[in-house]
Amino acid sequence: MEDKTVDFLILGGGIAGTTAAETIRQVLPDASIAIATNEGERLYSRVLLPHFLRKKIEFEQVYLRTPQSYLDHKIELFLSYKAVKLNCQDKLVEFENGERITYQKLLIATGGRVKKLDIPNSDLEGIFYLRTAADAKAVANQMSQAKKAVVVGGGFIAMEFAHAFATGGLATTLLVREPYFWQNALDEQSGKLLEQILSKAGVEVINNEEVDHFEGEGRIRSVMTKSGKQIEAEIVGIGVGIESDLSFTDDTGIVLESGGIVTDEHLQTSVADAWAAGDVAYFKDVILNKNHKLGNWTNAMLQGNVAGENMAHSASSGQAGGGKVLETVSAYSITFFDSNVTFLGDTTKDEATQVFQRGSLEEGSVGQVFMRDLQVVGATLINRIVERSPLSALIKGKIKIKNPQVLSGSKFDLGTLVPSQ
Amino acid sequence: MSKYKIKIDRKLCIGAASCLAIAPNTFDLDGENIAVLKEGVGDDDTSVMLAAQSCPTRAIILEELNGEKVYPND
Repeated sequence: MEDKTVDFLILGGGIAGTTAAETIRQVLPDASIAIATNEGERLYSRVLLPHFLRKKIEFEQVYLRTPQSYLDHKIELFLSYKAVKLNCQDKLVEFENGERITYQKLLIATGGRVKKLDIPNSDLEGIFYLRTAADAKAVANQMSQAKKAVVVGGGFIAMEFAHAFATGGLATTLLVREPYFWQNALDEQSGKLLEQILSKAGVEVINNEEVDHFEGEGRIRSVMTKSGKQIEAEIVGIGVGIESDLSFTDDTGIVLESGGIVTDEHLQTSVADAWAAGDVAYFKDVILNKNHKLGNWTNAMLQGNVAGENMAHSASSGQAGGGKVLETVSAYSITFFDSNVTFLGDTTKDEATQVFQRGSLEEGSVGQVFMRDLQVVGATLINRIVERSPLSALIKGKIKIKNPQVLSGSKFDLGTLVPSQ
Repeated sequence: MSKYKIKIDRKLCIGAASCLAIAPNTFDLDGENIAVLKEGVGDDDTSVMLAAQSCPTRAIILEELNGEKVYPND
């Protein structure tokens, strides 16, 4: 088998990788560009998968590119190519199918895979995670035959599962390990508000309950909790986070941290001619002045764009690094039943020096504002979407708020803190 | 002068704001978290196309000035 050779090799065919490829093409009309993805799919919208589960769209509508658009952009797309070994010295990637591709510039945008619950019988049919288009198809298929559903986890994916199951008319139970939903990200008022929204939609929320094991003969029949409850289920949705498989970077000198690939603010890794973007990147955030991993669509897209530009300019200028700087306030926004849930910036509780609460459970609208000293670094908003814009401006502008106590006054207009242009 | 006419399908928009991230002079979010077009001079055509292509719900539609749809193109 002959090695293929390309100027630009992109590992990962999601929005980060695809945006990078298309950005490089804009800058360099004649370079050879290839995307190698371990999935069997061209670019689709991960964001739209829950819409598909809620039957708002047909499956075909999740795709964001046609096969023709790759041809039009002269981007080679290698499907079902899983990278297993990277050799940065020889600039060569080996794939599971035996193929090899050599490159001049490399982007690692391989995202992540779901973490799985390691408990007895968690491999029974009917137990699902949600990350890929294939996952979504399998979930939709099982949903059409199920009457009872259980959701396990705390976070956006658990919310999407509960939303889909309830909207689909399944009798749904959400098992929450903690006293309130998503305790490690939210305050009690926010967690309880989400539970209230779920209960109003007919979802049974059980707190302080953890799955002990699953029961069934080949296929899920019931969920057994640690307290001894037995809950019948024909479908189970689990959302307990993602992780990146970076074993293919072993012995390359590419520095990893917190399960991601460390990059500077130009998305460049510790190794020359190798960049990283998207969910896999532990990137330098110039607004928050720290490295972190962020898994959301807009961030992934922007990182792909910045990395792509820098890769292209590195090729044409011969310069080693530098270039465009990634500068963005992250936002993850979903419609949860009739409510809006939006996370902005850095919402890591234990890294904030102070957290202010806005609104209340009674009002049906709760927010948290995370501070680092006198600067807003992040926020969680439930049904407070009008505050997204001023909060984003405060975060991006690194505005120092002389009297931060005002942030806890729900009626206080945050816009007054934003300096006028 | 831009070679595109830009339309936003408000029903599809979920406020991901990837369009603002790429083309901040062209797009903004309104009080309902839905994308809207800004007044005045926008971004270059490359950025506008990237913005449309980045939308996770295909809510941005680009047309040639003669009305022919350019993106999404299926």
